[in-house]
Amino acid sequence: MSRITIDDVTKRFGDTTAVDGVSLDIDDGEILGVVGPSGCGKTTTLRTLAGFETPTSGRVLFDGDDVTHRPPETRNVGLVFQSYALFENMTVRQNVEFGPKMQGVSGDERRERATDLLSMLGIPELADRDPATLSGGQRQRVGLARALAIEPHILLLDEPMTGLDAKLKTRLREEVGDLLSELDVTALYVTHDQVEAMEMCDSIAVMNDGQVEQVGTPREVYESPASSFVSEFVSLDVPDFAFVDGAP
Amino acid sequence: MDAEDAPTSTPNLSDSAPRSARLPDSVRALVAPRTERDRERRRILALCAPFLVLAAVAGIYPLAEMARISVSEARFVSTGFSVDAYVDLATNQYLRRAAWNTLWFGLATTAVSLLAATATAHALQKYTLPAEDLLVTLLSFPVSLPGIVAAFMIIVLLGNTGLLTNAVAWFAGESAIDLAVATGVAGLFIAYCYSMIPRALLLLRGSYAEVNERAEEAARSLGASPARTFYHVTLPQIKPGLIGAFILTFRTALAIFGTVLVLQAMRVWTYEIDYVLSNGFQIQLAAAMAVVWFVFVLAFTVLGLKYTSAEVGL
Repeated sequence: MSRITIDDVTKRFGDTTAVDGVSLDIDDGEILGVVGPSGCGKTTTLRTLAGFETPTSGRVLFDGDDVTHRPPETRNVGLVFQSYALFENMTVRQNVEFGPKMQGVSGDERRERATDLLSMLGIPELADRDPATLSGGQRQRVGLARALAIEPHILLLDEPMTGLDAKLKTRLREEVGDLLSELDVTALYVTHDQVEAMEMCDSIAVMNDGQVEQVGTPREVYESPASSFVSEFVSLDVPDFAFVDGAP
Repeated sequence: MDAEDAPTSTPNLSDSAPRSARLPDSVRALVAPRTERDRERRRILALCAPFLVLAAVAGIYPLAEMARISVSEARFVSTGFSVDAYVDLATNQYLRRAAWNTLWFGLATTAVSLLAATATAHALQKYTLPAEDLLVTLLSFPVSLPGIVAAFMIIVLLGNTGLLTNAVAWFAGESAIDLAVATGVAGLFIAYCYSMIPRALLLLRGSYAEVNERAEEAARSLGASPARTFYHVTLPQIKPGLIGAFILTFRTALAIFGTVLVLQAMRVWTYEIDYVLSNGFQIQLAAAMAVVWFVFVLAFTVLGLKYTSAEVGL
């Protein structure tokens, strides 16, 4: 895992500025939640980190190494999508082994990694299943195992809980949060659900209109919002929740 | 009892029942549907009726007649039974060569067309191209061109006085006549591909539109190069479209006639059918050739569809 720096990144698509001078630091092992309304630039920020968008200006650094112009396949970034994006022509195990295979990891080690990850995520019995036969929660676990199998510098999660039912979401939120903490994974967690971010992330960046409005711990953002937008955004329908530090 | 009150005869139920009641159940359900399923069947029949009539009149009858002619003893009247035309087909070395030419040339042009169409569909789907609408129109245009016109365009481009021939000749300092390929196998190859690539492209663009781009991005992030992503993730997703395009394009290659007639670079099956008709009106032989062609194409298509999940009409 690495320390990730987004340094004054701007991304324009024609006349539209999707990301406007965003700077963020993610410490080694930290989970940073990026929240904001639709179209605020959070997914573009994630895609810029993954290498699918090259910033119009600014830099992306992994452990001080400038990766701004490197293609996605050389960045060693794990991606988890809302839509799962599993390889439907492969079994669950083949999905998990795909990344290590592309990296030239030996067959034995690939199998071992896949077995360990599937066990860790509580789905070892699904190894030989076709992804199409799995439930949403199971598919998301496979997506997570696949992303973790490459031992990424950073794990990028793009609205991974959206679309799941409320009960499953709550359970998965706890499980994934515990797992990421246990593995000490550096992660960027993009979501429009502020409760989800507050429960799962060490710190939160609130974005609006392509810019970062505030970065801080969930408690800081909730208790001392830096702007009226942040105040309005985080105070919307927030029920009782536990901050990631466990304090009430 | 008054005479008026007396029954004159026993009431006949079948006379008083509606006429449709006399019809078999399946027909009655179509004539006077009572359930939504019956009404749906009637709509399906109405929608398919024009095609069924066309298939019977312009398809099944001519095919049956053609098969009959191929075993007729007489040339102008279908009479008797003779397999002479089929024996001729099996033993005539010129026709065997034409069959071989048709197969290898069809397969080769199909392979090249599929490669070109896959690359083009990939570019059209994955990237934002300048003047994309115009490009798509130009790429699909050859579908509506007759083979004869396609051949003429090849002559205009690659013939003795062709634009490209003379441009290359000018740069290379060689004779345009030596460089012209329009009426050679190379010219015919290009003309075939010119007609076939747009057909393959039509199917492949549909397949590409359904490719899960997030899965491709996941593969890239997991360390797969664009080429390996294509092989491991994209190709399995477009496979049904590729097989469908293969079936459609290969059948097109087998059926091309006008282009061969103009360029005359190679004797293929369709050309030979025309030849045997034009030279001595050997109609039994022509009919036998047509039957063989039809059976081959039908078997190829049925087998192709049976062993794949490709969706392409027969």
